[in-house]
Amino acid sequence: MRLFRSEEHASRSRRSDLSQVITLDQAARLARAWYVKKLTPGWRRHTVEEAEALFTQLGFDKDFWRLQ
Amino acid sequence: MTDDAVFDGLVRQAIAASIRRRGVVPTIAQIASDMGAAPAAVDASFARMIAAHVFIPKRESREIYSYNPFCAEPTDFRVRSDGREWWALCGWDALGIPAALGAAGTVETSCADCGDRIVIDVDRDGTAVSNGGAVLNIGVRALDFWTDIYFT
Repeated sequence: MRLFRSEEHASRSRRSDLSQVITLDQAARLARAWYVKKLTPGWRRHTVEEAEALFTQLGFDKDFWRLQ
Repeated sequence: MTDDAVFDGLVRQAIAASIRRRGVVPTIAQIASDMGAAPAAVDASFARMIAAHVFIPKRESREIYSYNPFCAEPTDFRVRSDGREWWALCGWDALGIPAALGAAGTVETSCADCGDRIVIDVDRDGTAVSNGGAVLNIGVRALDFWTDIYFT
C-alpha cells in the first residue's frame, strides 16, 4: 500500500487493475479508525462486520473492500 | 475465555506497553522477561497470534516483524511521533502510528512512481496534510490482504 504524489502517478505505476486509489483524507480516517485503540488494554481485531461497516462509512467500493 | 486466550491478552498488553515504553517492537525474550513468564509460553502465544493474524512475523520466525502499525525494522515509511522515530510497512500503517500513540506525527516517504519526497503532517485528531499532494494506492482487494501479507 504505497503512497503516490497523485492519482496520475499511481495510475502510471499500478501493478494490477485490481487496485484502488483513495484520497489522503480517506486514508487518514481509515488509519485512525483502524489503529486508534491498538495500544489500549482492551484492543482486539475488528470483526469482519465491523471492518466492512467502516469501509462503507468511508465511502469505499463495496466489491473491492468486501471481506467475505 | 480459555487460559490461552487470557494469557494472549496479557501478552498483547505487554507488547503494547513495550512499544510505548521502549519505542521499539519487542522480542519474545523481552516479553517473557517483562511478564516474568517462560519464553516457551510466550513463544506459543506468539504462534497463536500469528495464526489469528494479530501480527506479521519475520520470515521463518515467530518474532514480530510488524505489530501493525509498528514495524520492527526500518522501511521506506518513517514516522516521527510522540518524541520518537518509528517505521511502518505501508502508507496505511504510517498514517496509523500517530493515531495509535494518541499524538501528532509526521510521515516521511517517497512517491512510489517518481521518487519525490512526500511529507505528511498528521494532527492529534487525525487530520492529515501533505507537502504537495498524496494518495494511497491499495494494491490488492481487501479479501486478499492476508494472501501474501508481505506483498500487501
